[in-house]
Amino acid sequence: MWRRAGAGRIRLHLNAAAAAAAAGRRVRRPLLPPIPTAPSSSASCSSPSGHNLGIIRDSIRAPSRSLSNQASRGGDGGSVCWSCGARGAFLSCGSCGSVQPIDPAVDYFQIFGLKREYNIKDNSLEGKYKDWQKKLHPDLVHTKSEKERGFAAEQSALVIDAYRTLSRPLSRALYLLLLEGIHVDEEKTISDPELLMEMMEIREAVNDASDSQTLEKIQSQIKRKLETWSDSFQEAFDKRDFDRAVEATQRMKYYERAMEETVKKL
Amino acid sequence: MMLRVVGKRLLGAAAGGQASPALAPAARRGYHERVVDHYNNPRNVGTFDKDDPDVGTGLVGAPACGDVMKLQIRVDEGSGRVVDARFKTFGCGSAIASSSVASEWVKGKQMEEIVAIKNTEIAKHLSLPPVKLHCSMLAEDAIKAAVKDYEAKKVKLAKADE
Repeated sequence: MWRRAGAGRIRLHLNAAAAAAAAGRRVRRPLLPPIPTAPSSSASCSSPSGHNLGIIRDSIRAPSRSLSNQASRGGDGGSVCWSCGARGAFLSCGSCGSVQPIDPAVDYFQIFGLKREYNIKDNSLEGKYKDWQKKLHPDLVHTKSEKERGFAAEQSALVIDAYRTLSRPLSRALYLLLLEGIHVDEEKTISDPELLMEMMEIREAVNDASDSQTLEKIQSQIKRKLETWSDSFQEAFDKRDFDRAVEATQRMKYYERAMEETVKKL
Repeated sequence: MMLRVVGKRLLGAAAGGQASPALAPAARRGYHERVVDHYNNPRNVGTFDKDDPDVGTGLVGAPACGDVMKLQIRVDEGSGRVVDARFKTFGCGSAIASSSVASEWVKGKQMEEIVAIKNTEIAKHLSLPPVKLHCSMLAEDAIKAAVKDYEAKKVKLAKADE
C-alpha cells in the first residue's frame, strides 16, 4: 500500500540558528528546542525514539550528501546570496533583502522554523506566514529585476503551500509521511468492512439530517473521531509504524470528507 | 505520486461530492452527458436486505477522496443470474455514475460475466477523464466484492445445512 522512495529526495538543510552548533558534524538535523506542547518529561521521551533513528538512517544512507551540502552552502547553513554574496540567506537574504531562488532541500517545517513533527503549535504559523509574505511577495518586488521577480513568485507560492500543508492536521500528517519517503497509493480500493460501514452510516445520517441541531451533533461525533485518529497517527508515526500511520491518515480523510458534507449542509 | 498530496486539494474540490453546483455548469467542467444523466436520473438507487441469502453486497472505498460505494446484487439461485441490483454511493458525480452504470450492466447476467466487467468499459461509456478513472475502478471492485460476498454466503449456508 505504501512504498519507501529512494533516499535523499528531500534533504534537511541547516538553518542559521543551528549552523554553528552543527557545522563540521555529519548529523544535519536542526537542533531546535522541542515545542512545549506536552509536559517536558513526555516530550523528551517521545522525540528521541523517532528522531534519533531517523538521523541514523539518513546519515547511513547518504553520508556524502552532507559534505557536498556544506561545500555548496558555504559551510555555515543557508545559502550564499546571489546579489550581495552574504551568507546565511534563507528564502531571502538577511543582508540585502534580495529574494533567493528556491532551494529544493528546504522543507516546509524549516520554512516555519518548526521541528519536523506532527504536533506543532500552529498558532504561530499565521504570524510567520505573514512575515514571510512581507519579504517575499511578488507585489513587493515590482522594481526589481525579472529574475528576482521570478524568485519572489516561486518563493511566495512555496510559502503558501507550506502554510496550507502545515496548518491542517491531515495534510501535515501526509507531508510528514512524504518526508519519510512514504508514498501512499491512494488510488487503491479499500474494502475494510468496519470502516466502510461506519462511513456509510455517517454519510447517510448527514444526508437524512434535516435540522442544524442534528448536523451539529454529527459534527461533534466526527470531530471526536478525528481527534482519536489524529492521536493514533501521532503514536504510530512516533513509533515509526508507518502502516498504522497510513491507516490513520486514511481514516482521517474519510472523517474530514464527512465533515465537509455536514458543513455544506449547514 | 508526490503530486497527489499537493493535488489532493484540487481533487477534493472537484471530486468532493459538491455534486449539484459542480454539475450545473456541466459543459464547462466537462462532465459527459451520460454522467449528468446518471446523476440526475440515477437507476437502481436503494438497498437490499444484506442478510437475504440471495443478496451479495459489495462495499468498497476510495481513500483518495473518501468515497464509499455499495453495490448489491440479487441472484436467482437456480439460474445463477443476477435478477436485480441496487447501489448507494457517496462520492463525486463520476463515482455515482460509475456505480449506476454497474448496477444496470449486471442485471440479467451470470456471475462469471459480471466479474469480467472492466473499469475501462465503464470509463469509456461515461467518457471519464483520466483523473476520474479510479471511480470506474471502484465500480469494478464493487461488482467483484458483491459476487465474492454472495459466493461466501452460499458456502456458509451450504455448510450450515450439512
